[in-house]
Amino acid sequence: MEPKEFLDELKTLFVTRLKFEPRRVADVGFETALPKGVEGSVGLDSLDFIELGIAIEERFGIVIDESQDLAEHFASFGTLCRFIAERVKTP
Amino acid sequence: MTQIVVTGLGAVSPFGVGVKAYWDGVRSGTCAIRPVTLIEADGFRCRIAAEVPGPLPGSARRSRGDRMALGAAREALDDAGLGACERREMALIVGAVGGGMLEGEAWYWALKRGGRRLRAPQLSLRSILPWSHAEVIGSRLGLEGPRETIVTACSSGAASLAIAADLVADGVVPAALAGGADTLTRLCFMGFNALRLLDPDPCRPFDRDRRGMSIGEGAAFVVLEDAAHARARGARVYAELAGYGMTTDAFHVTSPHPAGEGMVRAMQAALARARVEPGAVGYANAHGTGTLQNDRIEAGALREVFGDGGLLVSSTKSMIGHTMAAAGSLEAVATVLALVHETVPPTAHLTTPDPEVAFDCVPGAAREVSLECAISNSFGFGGQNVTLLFRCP
Amino acid sequence: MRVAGVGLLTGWGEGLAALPAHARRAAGSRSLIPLAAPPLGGERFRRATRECLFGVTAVYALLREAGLGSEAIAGGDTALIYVTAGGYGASNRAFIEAAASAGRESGGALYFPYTAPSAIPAEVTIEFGLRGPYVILIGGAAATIEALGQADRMLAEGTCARALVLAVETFAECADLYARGRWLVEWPLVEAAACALLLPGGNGMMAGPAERASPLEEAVRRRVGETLACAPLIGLALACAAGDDPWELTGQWRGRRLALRGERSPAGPRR
Repeated sequence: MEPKEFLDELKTLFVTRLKFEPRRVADVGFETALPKGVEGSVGLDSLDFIELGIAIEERFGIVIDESQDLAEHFASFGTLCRFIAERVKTP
Repeated sequence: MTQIVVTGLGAVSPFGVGVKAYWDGVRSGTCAIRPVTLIEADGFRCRIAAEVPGPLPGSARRSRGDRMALGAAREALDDAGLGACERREMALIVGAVGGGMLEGEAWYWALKRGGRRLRAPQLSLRSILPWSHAEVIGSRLGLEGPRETIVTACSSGAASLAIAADLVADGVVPAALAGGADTLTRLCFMGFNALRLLDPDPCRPFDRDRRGMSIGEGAAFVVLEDAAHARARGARVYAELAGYGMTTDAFHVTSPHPAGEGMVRAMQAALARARVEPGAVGYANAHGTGTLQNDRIEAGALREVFGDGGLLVSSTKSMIGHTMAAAGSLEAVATVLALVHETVPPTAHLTTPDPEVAFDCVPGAAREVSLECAISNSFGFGGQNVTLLFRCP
Repeated sequence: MRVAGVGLLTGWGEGLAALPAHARRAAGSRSLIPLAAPPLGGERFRRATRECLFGVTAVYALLREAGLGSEAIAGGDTALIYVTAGGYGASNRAFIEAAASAGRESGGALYFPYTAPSAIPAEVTIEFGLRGPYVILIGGAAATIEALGQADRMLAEGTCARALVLAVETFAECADLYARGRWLVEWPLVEAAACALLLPGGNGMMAGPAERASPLEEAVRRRVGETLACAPLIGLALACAAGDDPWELTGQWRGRRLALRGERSPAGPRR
C-alpha cells in the first residue's frame, strides 16, 4: 500500500469508527496532528485513541503493543501511517 | 443536627454470603479474583473476575442481581433487629447499574444467534432494569417508605448512603436501608475490555507496575438510623456516618479531572459536614481501581486534603475487584468494620509501591491501629465523586 | 422552593405551545411520537448519543425560558438531579447488538461509557460547567416526584443555591421492545426532555404516597401522552403557566404513586 492509501483508510476509520463528519476529515493531511490541545489537530481524546487503536488492529490485522509509549506514533496522520506501514510489512 | 448512625450491615461478596465471610476475606488480604465462569470470556484480553461463589440465597426464579441484593438487604435488616412495623416506614435507596442484564443478555444473544423466536422468559424482562432490586427488596422485606434507585455508575453504592442519610437527617424517615448491588455482565466485561482498562492478571492498585482493574460483583446494604431512634430501641451502633460529599468534575465522560479537583472537593465537603479536621481521619478506603490514571490522581487528591501525614490508604478492589454499583457500599461496610475492629484491611498484590503515591497503602497484611474516623471514596464515569466519612460512635 | 422556569421539548415540539389538546387524537394511529434531532452538532457532540443531546437541549430551553445565560447555573452551587425510566435503553441495546453480531471489543470503546445512564447528566455537567451535588434516579414519574422533593430539601438545607431537575425519555430505538410491554402504556409514547430550575424560598414541599392521580397528572397524560419521568416536570410547567398555587403533582411508576404538595411544617418529621 502507498502512504496515500493508508491516509485514506485512516480517514475512513475516522468517519466510520470515531463518528467524524466526512467533511471534517476531507482535507486533513499527513501533517495534521491528532491529540486534543495541539494546534490544528483533529482533537482526539483518550477515549478516541483507544477506539482508534482497536479499529487499526482490526482493519490492518496488526497488533499494537500497548506496553510501549505510543504517543510519538499517534502524534499525526503521518506518524500513524508510518507506524502502521512498518507493522503491515513486518508483522 | 441529626446524628446518623449505622446499626445494621449486610454483604454478599466474592468471599460468599454474609458480612462475616466478607470481613474474614478482606482482613486476611485474600484475593477472590479468578477465571470467569458466568460468561464466555474466550478471546478477551482479560478473562478473570471476582464472582460470588454459589449457592446464592433466594429463589432461582429471580435474577442473580436480585438474589444478591435481597440476601444482603435481609442480613442488614436482621442485623439491625428491626421488626416488621419499623421496616414499614423505612426508606430504601438502592445503587444499581446492571440490574438483571446478565439474564437479559443471555436471552437476547440466544434470540440473535438462534435466529428463531424465543419466548422471552418473564423473569429476565421483568427484572432486567436496575430498579428491579428495589422492587424486590421493598416487597419481600416490607419496606414501604420512600424508594429510590440511584445510578451514578461506579459511585452508585456510595451515593445511595449519602441520599439515605439526607432523608434521615431531614426527618423524612427515622431509618433507611441503603446500599448497592451489581452482577458481572457481558456488557460491562466487554466494555471495560474494549476500553483496555482491565489487567489480564488480578489488579494491583497503587503498585508501580499496575496495569488496570479487575471486575467483581456483589451486594451490600447498611441500615442508617437517627441516633436518637437507635438509642431509644437499644440498637447496637457500629459507627456514625458523620459526613459525606458529592461533587461532579464537569470534565470528561470517562477520564477523571487530571488534578482530581472534584475528588478533593468531595473529601473536603465530607470533612466540613462532619466538622472533622483532616488529622482525625486515620484511614481512607480508596476508590483504588488499579488503573494508571485513577490511582495516581486519587493519591494526589488525598495528599492535597490530608497532607503527607500518617493516613493509611488501602484498596478493597485489590481483593474483590471493582464491583460496580456495589463497590461503594461494600467498601463502606469494610470501612465501618475497620473502625469497629480497629483494623485496616490491606491492599493485596502490592509488591512495588508507586513512588508517586505518598501514602502507606498497607501492603499484604492488615494493620491494627487505633482509629477515630475513616473515609471511603467512590468515583464514577462522568466525574461523579462521593466521599463517605465514618466516625467511631 | 420556587420554580424559576421549566424548559420543555416533546415529540410535539418545544414548549407548552406545541402541545396538542388531546394526545391520543393528535397521535392518530401512531404509537410513538419521536423527538426531532436537536440543533447540536460539531466536534463537541461527535460521540454523544441522541439522549445526551436532548438532555443538553432541554437545559438550553430552560435558560431561554427563564431568560438566563449559562453563567447563571455554572459552578459548584448548582445541584443536578437527573431522572429517567428508559433513556439509556437505546445505547444499551446498540452495544449488546453490536457485540452479539460482531463480537468482542468491536466498536465498544466509544459507546460503552454511554451505556451508563449517568452519561447523560455527565454531558450536561460538562456543557454547562455544573460542579455541585448530583443525584441520578432511575424510574418513571414517581421517581421525578422524589427528585423534586430531594431538590426542595437540598435547597432548604443550603446544600445548593439552585437545583436543576432534568428528565429525558427516548423510545424510538426500542419501539419494538416497548410494544411487547403493553403493561407499560395505554397512551402514545411521546419522547420528551424537560428541565426545571428550582430556587430557595416559596412553599415547602412534601412528597408522600398518593391514592389517585392529581388533575395535573391527568392533564399531562391527556395532552402529551406517556412521557414517564418527564411527566411531573411538564405538569410543573403547566401549573406555572396557569398560575396555579398551590399545585399538587402526582406521579406513578410500577404500582407506586407519589404526590408532591402542601407546605412544610416548620419543625418535625414531614411524613
